[in-house]
Amino acid sequence: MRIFFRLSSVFQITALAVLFLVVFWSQTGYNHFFKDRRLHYPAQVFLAPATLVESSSFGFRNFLADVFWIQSVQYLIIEGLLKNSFMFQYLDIVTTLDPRFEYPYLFANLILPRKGSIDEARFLTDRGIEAIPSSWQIPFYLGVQYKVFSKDYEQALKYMNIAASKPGKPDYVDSLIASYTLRSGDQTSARELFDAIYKTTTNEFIKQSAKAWIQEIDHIGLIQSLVFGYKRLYGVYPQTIDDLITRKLIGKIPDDIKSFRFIINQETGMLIIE
Amino acid sequence: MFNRVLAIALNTFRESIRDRILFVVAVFALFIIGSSLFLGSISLDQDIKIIKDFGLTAIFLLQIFIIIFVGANLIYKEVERKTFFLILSKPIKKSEVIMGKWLGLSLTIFLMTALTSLMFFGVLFIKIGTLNGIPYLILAILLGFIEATLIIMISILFSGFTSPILSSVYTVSLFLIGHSSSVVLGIIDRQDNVIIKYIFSVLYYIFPNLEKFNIRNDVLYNSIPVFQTLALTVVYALAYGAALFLIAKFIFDRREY
Repeated sequence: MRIFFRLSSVFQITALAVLFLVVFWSQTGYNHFFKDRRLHYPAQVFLAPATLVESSSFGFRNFLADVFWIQSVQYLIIEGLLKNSFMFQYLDIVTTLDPRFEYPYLFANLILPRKGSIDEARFLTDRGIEAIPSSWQIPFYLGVQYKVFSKDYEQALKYMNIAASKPGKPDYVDSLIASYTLRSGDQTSARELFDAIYKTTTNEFIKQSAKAWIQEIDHIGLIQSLVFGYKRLYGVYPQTIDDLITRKLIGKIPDDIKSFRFIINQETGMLIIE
Repeated sequence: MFNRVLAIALNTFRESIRDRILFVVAVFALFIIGSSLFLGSISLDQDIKIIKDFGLTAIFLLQIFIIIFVGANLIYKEVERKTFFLILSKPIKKSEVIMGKWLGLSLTIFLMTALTSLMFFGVLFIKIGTLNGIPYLILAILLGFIEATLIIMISILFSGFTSPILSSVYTVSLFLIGHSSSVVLGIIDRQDNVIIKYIFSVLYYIFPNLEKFNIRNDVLYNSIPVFQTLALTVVYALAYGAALFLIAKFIFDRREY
């Protein structure tokens, strides 16, 4: 020790620098080791089933629901690193412990369909509709997701209709129902719905939107009749609606329905809007 | 009689208030309430719910921990220090000792609950700026307190014939069973064997059903059980508490100190 203290200060500073370099090297090596491991091994391989957590909650249901809720929010960040997602299980636990906690249902409807788990979102939504009968948002969110992610207008309409039956729902829910009805191929019902919205709403924006939709539906009806006329003239249905222009059945497609992508069913001649 | 019970109760209250464990538990409860502020901030705008849940849970945990750590020692300490012999040599009945101990610890828990609740309401008021919904929370805390008084009697009952550790274990076990009554009910519903069904049904009614005191989820959504169920819950607590008292008296009367 005495020798060490007798060494020059330059040597001491150098020794200190070397020691810190060793510290830095060992720390980065340590971090690198665990970084590699994290990439190869999932951090989580098991989550207890909701029923087990519920029966072990012993009077702390709300507290545990909150803990699992906070965990699920954090889980969203690391989920991409894992092989299997436990997001549904997390939200299942939260909503089992506290079925009246509304936000996890909305969260599920925003997150799960995006990952291709719309059936799991529906499972939670059905639970939410039963537990919180006053919430229009829970079925509404799922209805929108059915339209956006799976183009399943039947399911979308089912949940939109549930949302529409709830108190406090905004006026545009009715408009969406009419819109989904149109896209599901039922133009007559869609026109009736938009007509009802036009006559009853007090919101000027929705009134004008409904009016525009009625006009669009009428134009779609016109195209539909021309498709049938095409069949009478040429014996087959047109491949696309552009064939109607080529054969001079119509001068141009009305501007307001130009944005729609139409498919013509070659067996029935019905227009399908994508 | 009441004076003698009150004297023991005040003595128990003074003694338990001096217990350091009490303050450790209180600090722990306040830590949970405080941490809810941080955890609420990472819960996607669900902070009010988190604060309420954590606050109610902290108060409930405080009550349970006091019973487990302080209640289990109540009788044992007296026997260890030989003070129990001094009390029993006076013209006082063992049943009055039991009642006094129960009342004393109930007072302690009431005081700690009141102080922690004030802290909890303060945090909530700072966060939401209104006292709306507080009466609902008070009702949940009160029902939790009634549950706690029932558990105190259970703890005294066990501390009459076992060591503090075993008394704590038994009390915690009964607490857990009491909060699992819905599980027992589920087993009864699913069971086809009549004998097993009958055994579980008997157990269901013998063990305390503590979950009925838990309205913490209801008050969170500003809905409370109807008056009839609340009244039945209080009647249940009184009847079950009285039964426990009689069992404890029976055990204490037959035990030689």
